[in-house]
Amino acid sequence: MKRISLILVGALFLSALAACNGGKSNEPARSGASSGQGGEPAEQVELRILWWGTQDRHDLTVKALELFEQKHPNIKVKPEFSGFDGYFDKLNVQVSGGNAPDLFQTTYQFMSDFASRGSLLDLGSVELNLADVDQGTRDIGLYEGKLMMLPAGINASAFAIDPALYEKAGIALKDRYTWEEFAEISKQVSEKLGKGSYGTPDYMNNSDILTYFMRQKGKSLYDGNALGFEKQDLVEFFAYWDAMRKSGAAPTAEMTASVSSGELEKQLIVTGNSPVLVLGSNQLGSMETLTNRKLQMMLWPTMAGGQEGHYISAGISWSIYARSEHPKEAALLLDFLTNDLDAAAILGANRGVPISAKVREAMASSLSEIDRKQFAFIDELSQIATPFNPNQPVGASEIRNLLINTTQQIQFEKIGIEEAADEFMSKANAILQGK
Amino acid sequence: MGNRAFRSNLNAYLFLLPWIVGLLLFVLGPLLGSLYLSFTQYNLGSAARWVGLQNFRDIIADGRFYLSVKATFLFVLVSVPLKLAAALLIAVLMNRNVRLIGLYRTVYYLPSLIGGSVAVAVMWRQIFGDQGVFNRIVELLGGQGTIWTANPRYAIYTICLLAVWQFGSSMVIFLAGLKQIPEYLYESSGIDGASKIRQFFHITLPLLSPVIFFNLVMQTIGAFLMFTQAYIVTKGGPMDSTLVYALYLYEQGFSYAKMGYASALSWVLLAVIALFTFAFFKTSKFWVYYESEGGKA
Amino acid sequence: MSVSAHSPSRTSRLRHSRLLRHSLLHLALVACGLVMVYPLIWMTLSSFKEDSHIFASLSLLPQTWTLDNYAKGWTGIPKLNFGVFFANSFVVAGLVVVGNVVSASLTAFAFGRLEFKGKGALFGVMLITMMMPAQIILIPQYLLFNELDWINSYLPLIVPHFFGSAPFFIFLMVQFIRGLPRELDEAATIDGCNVFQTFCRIILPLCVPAVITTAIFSFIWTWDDFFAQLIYINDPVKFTVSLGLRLFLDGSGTSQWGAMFAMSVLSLIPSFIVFLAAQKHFVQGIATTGMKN
Repeated sequence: MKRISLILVGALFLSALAACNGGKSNEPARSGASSGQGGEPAEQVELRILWWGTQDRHDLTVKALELFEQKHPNIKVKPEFSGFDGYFDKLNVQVSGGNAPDLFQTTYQFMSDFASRGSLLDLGSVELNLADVDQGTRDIGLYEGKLMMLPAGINASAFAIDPALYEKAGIALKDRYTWEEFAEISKQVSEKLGKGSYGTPDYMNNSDILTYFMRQKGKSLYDGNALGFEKQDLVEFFAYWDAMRKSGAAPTAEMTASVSSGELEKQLIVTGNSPVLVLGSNQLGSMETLTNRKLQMMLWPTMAGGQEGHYISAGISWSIYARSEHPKEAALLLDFLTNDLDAAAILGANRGVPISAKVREAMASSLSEIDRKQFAFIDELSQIATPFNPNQPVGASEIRNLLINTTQQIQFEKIGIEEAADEFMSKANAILQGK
Repeated sequence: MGNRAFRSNLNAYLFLLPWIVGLLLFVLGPLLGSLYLSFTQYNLGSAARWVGLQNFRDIIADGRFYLSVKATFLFVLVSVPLKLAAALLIAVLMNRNVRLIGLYRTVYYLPSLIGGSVAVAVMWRQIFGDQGVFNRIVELLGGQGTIWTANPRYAIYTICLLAVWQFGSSMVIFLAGLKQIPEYLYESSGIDGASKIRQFFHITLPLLSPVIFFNLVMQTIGAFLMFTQAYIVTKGGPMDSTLVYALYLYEQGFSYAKMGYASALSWVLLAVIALFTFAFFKTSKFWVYYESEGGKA
Repeated sequence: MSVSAHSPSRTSRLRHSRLLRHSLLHLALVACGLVMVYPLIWMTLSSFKEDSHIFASLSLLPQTWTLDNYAKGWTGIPKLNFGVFFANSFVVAGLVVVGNVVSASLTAFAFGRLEFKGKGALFGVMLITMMMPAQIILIPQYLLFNELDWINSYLPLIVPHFFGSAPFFIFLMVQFIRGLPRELDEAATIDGCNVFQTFCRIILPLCVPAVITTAIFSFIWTWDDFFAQLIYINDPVKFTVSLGLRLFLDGSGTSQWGAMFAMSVLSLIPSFIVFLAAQKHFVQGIATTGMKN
């Protein structure tokens, strides 16, 4: 008797599992509410939207959503917001349970993981006005030729620098340095500012800088589902930063480990111990608040004989859930957040520089000082940036951690550069092959 | 006779009914589910694909698996004895009716009250950081400071310390156990002139042994499953030195969505914990004294 | 005569050394206590600092005292305030306490006192269920609760506790019940009590310390729990305190540490009161009740 009930429960459970994953996954139940004109639903529809952030973002977004409800009385929007802690873990669980929100905030680093599992809706299959969004921005959201994600804001990684600290170290700032010059001034900063201060954090472990470095060499971090560079390129990259640490221009291994696992508040630029930080341009404002000093963006160093490596990317983005019951309405909301001028007036540049040229134009006159800096930097960068294929293969997040782990072994002097590069290449390849 | 046996079985199962229902409804299904998943490649959100023993073969070849085993055993072996010793010592000191004792008890429980909140993590890194209190003390004693939470040699010990520092729940359980020891036993032995220390070893320890056993088993299981402290303070780093087992399988399951592999990892862990627990139960008959059973386990 | 003259001085010396021992004990307890509460002090003082000073300055005391963090933290969420989260947490933690106490004491009585077929095997199963990493069980459980349509409600957080889903407490009670002398039940049986009456009248009252322990821990651990609440609750109106606290943290941007610390301090108060109020009941174990007769 007991055994039978045991088997029953087990079978029930497994069938539920199968039903969740097999049966429904490729056949999203499309909205029963047939659309009237302009995608407007004929009957009441409820949408769920999920994002992470803090108070200001919650306030602004909820306000914008209220406006959306006014404009679309038949759509009720249920906001679900949270902190960043556990955000993607929860989304992973929801996706596996088949009840993720209709529209959710994401980033390009996570996109391919979700897209590869069939969790994202092809935005090409719904009505979405992208007339004012340039091609490069649109391409950021492509996964295997389909638009799976739309950036909420344009963003680019570069250095945020503290000019006052450079001045204190007696360095007259140029607009941009070569890698060699950067090593020199960094060493000078370390020496002039004394113990505990460093010219730059150790970015041996930073995938953004590594991407940039490979692009300078005419390569890329990923080429489809494989690494886009050779071991020798990686050895060069490791060697540069290894020398930086050994010369004292970059901090000790412990300091690097402690800073990279700590809060934004512990970054050396905030504590006044380094004039440099790798930062997304959309974070400049919050960084200035933290440091309580004026900061500015600076382009990454150039490589002698190399190409331009800078690229424009997306920070926070939106995706629609593949199994959303109301994909049309979700697209309507996404369209509203992207193109609506009234919405833009509320949201400002909270999620980065808006992707619609029209919206940017309308906002130009009312920008705050810090947003103006952000806009100007993106403008400046778009003059030189070269096209970027942000497509991250499945396993990219694991490889990001692999980079941190491998470089820690160099930093703590457990293994040499050559060995570390070998280890990285073989492990990364194993991950990419789905091992 | 048969009727009486039936009656006593029936009675027992009536008491067990809620638990059995819960077991069948909420626990056994998911448990079997995860067992099934451990034989599949299951990336959260896509369909599970049967791969047989592949996950277990992968575990054997997985270098980080061994790192996590090492970190976990270190944690268990260091934190459990220290935590239990501290909890027992303080509980014995607290087990008296002096003034303000309630306040003391509460104060000693405070660290456990804060639990695994972010505030604790921030504070811990601060204390064991570059400019932290701990470095001040070390330098005062003529030692060489470091960033303890970011040093691969020491990071795991700061996690152990965090666990030991939160000994409150074990202390409370010891206290409750001490309260259960009849006072007349001490009174009669006091007349015999037994010293406090003799009393402790001859009365307190044997009568407390069921509770000591409980704490030992539960703290060991808990230590094998430890997740929060490592997750919030060091995230497993540096160099995977604090990558305890639960953290590693969490990373595989949630960060990389390889739930099949993570399930396989967790069944390996379950087997190891079960082995330890079984060993504890086997040895318990030599040292655990049950009042109700005349000294036999 | 000489004996009576001798004894007062001896007792006073005894009293003297006792006093010394007592004050030494107090001194040691206070010193260790300071180490124990240091984090709370740090957190509380940080909650009165401005955001930018929490990490930047090394001093324990705020440069300027501000109550801003409390005001901002309390009302910081659109259309909600922290009071809602407190109320929600009380509902969840309160019901979990009831569920754990009822189900754990029933189950533990069977395991600790009654003889029945399959006891060893079932006890083993119960132990096994404790050894599974919660994170792994979570996915299948989520699918199950999803089928039951329980997501975004408190049911997944509460209902299992009424069905003994916390083996920790079952095992705890089992150990306590096994520590009680059997003569008690035998006497009760002779007095004509059936097994249910024995449970209610004899065993349960003697297990007060264990019951109180179960209640306190259930409350505090549910109050602190983050992951299950994160996974099952979607709607901010239903958020609990521990979810609310995370609303101030943005891993990729600026976090409102001040507000987070301020609300963390407030969130400790209920657990603190519960513990302070309940701890004196440990004292009323069988040591002071009717064991001697």
